Amino acid sequence: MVDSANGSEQNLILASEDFSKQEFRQLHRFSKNDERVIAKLIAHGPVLLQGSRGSGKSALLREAAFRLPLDNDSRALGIYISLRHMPLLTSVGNEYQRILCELLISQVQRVLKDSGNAFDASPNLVSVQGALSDLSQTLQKRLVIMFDDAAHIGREASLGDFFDVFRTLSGSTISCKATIYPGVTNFGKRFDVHNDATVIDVVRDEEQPGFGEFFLEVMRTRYPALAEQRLGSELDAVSFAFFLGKSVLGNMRSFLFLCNRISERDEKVLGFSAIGESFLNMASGFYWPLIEEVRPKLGKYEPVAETAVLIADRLLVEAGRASDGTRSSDTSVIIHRDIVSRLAKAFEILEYVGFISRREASRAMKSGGRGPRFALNLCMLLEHTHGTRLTSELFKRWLSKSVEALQIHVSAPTFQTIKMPDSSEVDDLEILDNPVDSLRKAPAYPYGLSDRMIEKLHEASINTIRELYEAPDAKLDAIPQIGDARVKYLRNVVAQAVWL
Amino acid sequence: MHALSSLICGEPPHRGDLSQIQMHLATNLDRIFGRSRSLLKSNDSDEVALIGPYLGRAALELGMTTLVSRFDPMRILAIRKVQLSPTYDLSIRNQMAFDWAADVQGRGKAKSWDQLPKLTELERALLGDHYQDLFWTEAFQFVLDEIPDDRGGAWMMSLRRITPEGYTTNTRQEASRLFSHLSKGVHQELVIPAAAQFDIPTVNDLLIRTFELLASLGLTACYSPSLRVPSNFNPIDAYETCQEEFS
Repeated sequence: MVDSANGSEQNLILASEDFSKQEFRQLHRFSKNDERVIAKLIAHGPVLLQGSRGSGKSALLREAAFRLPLDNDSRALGIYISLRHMPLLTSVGNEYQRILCELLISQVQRVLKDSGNAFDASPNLVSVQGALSDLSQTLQKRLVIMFDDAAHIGREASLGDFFDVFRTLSGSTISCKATIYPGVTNFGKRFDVHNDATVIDVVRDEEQPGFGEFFLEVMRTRYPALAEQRLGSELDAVSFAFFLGKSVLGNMRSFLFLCNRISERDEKVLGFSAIGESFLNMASGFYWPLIEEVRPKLGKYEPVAETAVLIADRLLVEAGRASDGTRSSDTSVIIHRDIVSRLAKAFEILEYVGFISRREASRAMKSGGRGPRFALNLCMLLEHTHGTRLTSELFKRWLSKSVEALQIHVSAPTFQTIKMPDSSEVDDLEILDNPVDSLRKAPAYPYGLSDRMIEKLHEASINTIRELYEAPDAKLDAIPQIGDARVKYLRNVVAQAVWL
Repeated sequence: MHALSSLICGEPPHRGDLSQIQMHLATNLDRIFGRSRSLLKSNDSDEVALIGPYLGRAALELGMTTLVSRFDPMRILAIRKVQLSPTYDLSIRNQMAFDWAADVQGRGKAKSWDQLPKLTELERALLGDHYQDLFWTEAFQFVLDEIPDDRGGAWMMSLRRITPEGYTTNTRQEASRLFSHLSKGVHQELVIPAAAQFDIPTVNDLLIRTFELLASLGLTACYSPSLRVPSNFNPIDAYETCQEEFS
């Protein structure tokens, strides 16, 4: 999620769960709105955190768990558990629940380590529920279980099983919290999402007060040199941070990527031209490859990735069309609800990869009807504006609040010829059978493996991502030039490749 | 009047029985909001666990009663008449009393209009299906379309993520969750130590969610063409003031 202060991509850590506790507390900042969300996570009651990739859901969960340690006066104990666990992706029913219970038992035992409290349970739901209830009584604390990465965008088969567990465990002394993506709709037969949990959207919207100041604080923490960078005469630090934050739709992970890209330029004075070039670099080197990265993780929705690309392309062309110099400033778009409903999964994928972000569920359209309003990613939009240059004028227009949203009515030709493909029959993730070569460091995998490491894996007969995941630590450790630290690194790369 | 009371009460009639009722409800709401504001700053966990759920549930019930009195004055005036009757007995449950299930939540799926419901089949619950069709969807659409993008803070941002058609269901479900949770604290029904279930973070969360819900309903009611709002009253200002105070 973040680069260390030296700005090197080698140190670019993509997910908050890859930080040690100390690093996490040192490097993460939370806005006033984030604090509201954390307060809801700490309070009793079931909560689902909904947000796109890189929006900061895991960081919020981890922070909430850190604020509920075993050894303080708080009446609650937080237990954070990441479900980035390959066997969960390939199992359903009782087997899924058994694996999940095993993970939970082992995590609770880890949290209780050295406290003098024991936690014994068999890996089944009834036993785990009873043991958690007993633990709560012994500690005189309620338990808050934070399930991270429970929902994988491409695999819905096990979601019903997960929400069964979620609902069964939630009770008077145990509350469950979990992260989900906006496209998650399969909650199983026993779980009514609106009655059984409070759903909270994790969105950083530029309309929120303090948006620019918050991103400047993040920049100061993660990229202090960039925050102190001399800026062109028409820029100040807050509007610079605001603009970068708005451009990537408030997505924290993308913001850090963008800061990283700009830092690497090593400019004496940073102006619009350099920022614009970094935007274009993000579009071609990060966002478009991201669709390719995500495609093999979509399971049965894999064919929809192509539709999503088509929609993105037409949307950006429309928004960027500089017919008279004023239309080129549209930074958001209202799309008639019939279109969005017809192409729903493709729009969800575009939200997931950060091309667009839903800001409003329903807005009136001039030509009649209503539809959701989406903010557009400005790095992507710049590619489609006249001259593909960030000028002072464009910067001001994009910062302006008075610009009206572009509107695409149901009768407009823009999406009329786009049809939704049939879902694939296969409910498995193609990425698991991809060769390890696909983890090679590249724009889509800046945190990927070197050529040399891939060669070593092949020599050890580890040829696919599944084989790499399933290889025991000892086998990896035995490969020449792969020590303990490298084993952990390999594990992180695989987890990020499959889940992010 | 407290900003939240103003949102919920709108413009009471200037004279008559309904005016008296609404002024009484507004005064009680003011008291509850004042006490809640102090409690939200308290570090006394026993006090918070004991008083917080009561204040939250009282706010919820009073707020809903006030809104019903604006949409359906007959309901509240009838309660008043019965309560003033010499045969009214405080020690006996009265059939006319305000009832959460019947007056707020609704007792199930209401008949759709094309099923030609009879007058007696009209669902008169504030958050029921017929209120949704007749009042809330239209009013919430005005909220979404007329409030400027940069107004209303985080609470408004959450509202913008709901469709007009989904507003009533969303509100009904949140109201139901809050009512149930707060009631467990009010009735002292937990036989296990309740300190953990009603600790300070939990009670604060319940109270803030209650006020957010009431503010949203009050704001939306102000945009309903069926209700009166004082001409010099700006609902979004009041909504922002509530948010600043309670979050």
